[in-house]
Amino acid sequence: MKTYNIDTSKKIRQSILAMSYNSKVAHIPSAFSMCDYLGVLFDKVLSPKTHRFVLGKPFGAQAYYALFAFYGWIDKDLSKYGSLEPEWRYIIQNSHPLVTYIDESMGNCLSVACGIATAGLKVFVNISDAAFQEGTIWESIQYAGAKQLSNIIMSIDNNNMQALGKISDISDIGNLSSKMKDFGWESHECDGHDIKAIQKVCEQILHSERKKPIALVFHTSKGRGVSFMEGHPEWHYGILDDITYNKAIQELK
Amino acid sequence: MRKWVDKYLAEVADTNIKIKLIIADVGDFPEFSKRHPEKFINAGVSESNAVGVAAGLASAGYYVYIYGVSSFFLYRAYEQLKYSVSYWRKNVTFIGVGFGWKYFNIGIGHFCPDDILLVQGLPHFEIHTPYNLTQLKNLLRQSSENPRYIRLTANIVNNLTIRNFQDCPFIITCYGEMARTCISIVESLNAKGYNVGVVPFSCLNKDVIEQEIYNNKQSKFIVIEDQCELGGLYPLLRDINANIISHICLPLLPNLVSSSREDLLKGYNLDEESITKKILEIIEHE
Repeated sequence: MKTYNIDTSKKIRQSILAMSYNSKVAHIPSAFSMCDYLGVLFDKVLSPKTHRFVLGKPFGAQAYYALFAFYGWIDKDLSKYGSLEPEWRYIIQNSHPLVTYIDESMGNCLSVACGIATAGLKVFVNISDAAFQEGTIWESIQYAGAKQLSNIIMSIDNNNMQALGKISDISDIGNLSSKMKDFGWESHECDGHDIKAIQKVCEQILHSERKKPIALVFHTSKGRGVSFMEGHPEWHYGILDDITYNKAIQELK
Repeated sequence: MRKWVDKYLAEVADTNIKIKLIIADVGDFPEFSKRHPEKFINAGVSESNAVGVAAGLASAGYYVYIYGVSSFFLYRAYEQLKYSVSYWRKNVTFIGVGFGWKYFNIGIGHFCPDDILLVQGLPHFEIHTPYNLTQLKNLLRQSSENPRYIRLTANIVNNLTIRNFQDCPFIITCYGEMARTCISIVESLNAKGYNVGVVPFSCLNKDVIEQEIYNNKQSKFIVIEDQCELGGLYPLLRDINANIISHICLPLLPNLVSSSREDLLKGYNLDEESITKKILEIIEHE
């Protein structure tokens, strides 16, 4: 039985770095931002056998691949990452067998998840906080709350960063957890890198009465784990070279 | 003609459990919603979300019908129609109303002269323009592997039959609501001894159109449509080298001073009187 702990957290980050370095793919800080809470959710609450996966945060897909491999849901050999094979594209695609839907156009995916939930299936959605600057997502939040789609679990990567700076500086979205409650969701929030805190949230979900859709607001830090990436927006599109790769790997030992 | 959609879809839903009808707070369906409340969804005033919900339901194996105003769905929810429905060939049928000039009298926000053009940009979408009840009934009863756009004609005729106009020197081509107008014009002209035919299409399928043109390859075509010149029937006919001698259509940007749809149609020669006059000019000139 695999468990997500501090050691796993480092190994997953090392895998993310290796995939990114080998395939010259960016969005590493996004992957670091979400890998801890996803890792614990996959450990305690979610799997592709129980939930349809809808990914509204397809960038930083290295995290999905590393975690899917860690839990034995896909081939452990990650060297194909970034190839043109449908299951190994650098941004995870709709063609991936573990994914029901992705949308790299921000804010759209929750509506599709609402449709899947309306069909009576359990669905997991992962989304970035920047997507809340879009209008469509608020239509879907209203809909899921109004229709009491309690079979939706949505994790929000609340790292307060978007492509060109801080969300709070560019167009602030405020307190997401309270907004979700206002729209009829059950909402939980915690530090998205604190494994014990995430495990506690998982316990709360598992014991929830489940009368409402569930929002999980994870306060995260983009680039967490590598000092020269964390809090440095220029690494959003940054590509690792030999020097930065080795430096990053050293920090994770 | 919503009442027919209500009736036919209620019948379809009697035997098919995997059906959903979604609206965005426009159009009531008393029969369907009474007989199948669990299959009827009012998503609220949220077209983009409604299309995403439809895509999600379709991915779970449902046949999904969306009913709404064409301009609201095609302009506001185009991204969702493309990324969530069209590319992935989801089993979603959008039944649109108020396209073209229909709601022009309400305001420019209801003017939709490019609905077909937009749907022609959505891969896999079939475009249906039924002009009689049998066609509409069959469309709603039959499923398709493709997403579909059904232009719901307001003045649908009961069971319009068209006689074979093969070997006519002049043929009017049209579809949907314009079919009724054009058939009436041709009947009137035929009664006066003019040899003019009419070929209305119920589906803007290139293969069907190509066959019809091939059957009338000696004819000269007059295209009448409630669509802007960039999309619709005209480019399809042009691409298969039909001998088009006139095209009467809607403007992309109408005269905003026009106060009614009648003004608009007359201003752009799409009313019955103007079309008749134009056809007579063509016949005499040729």
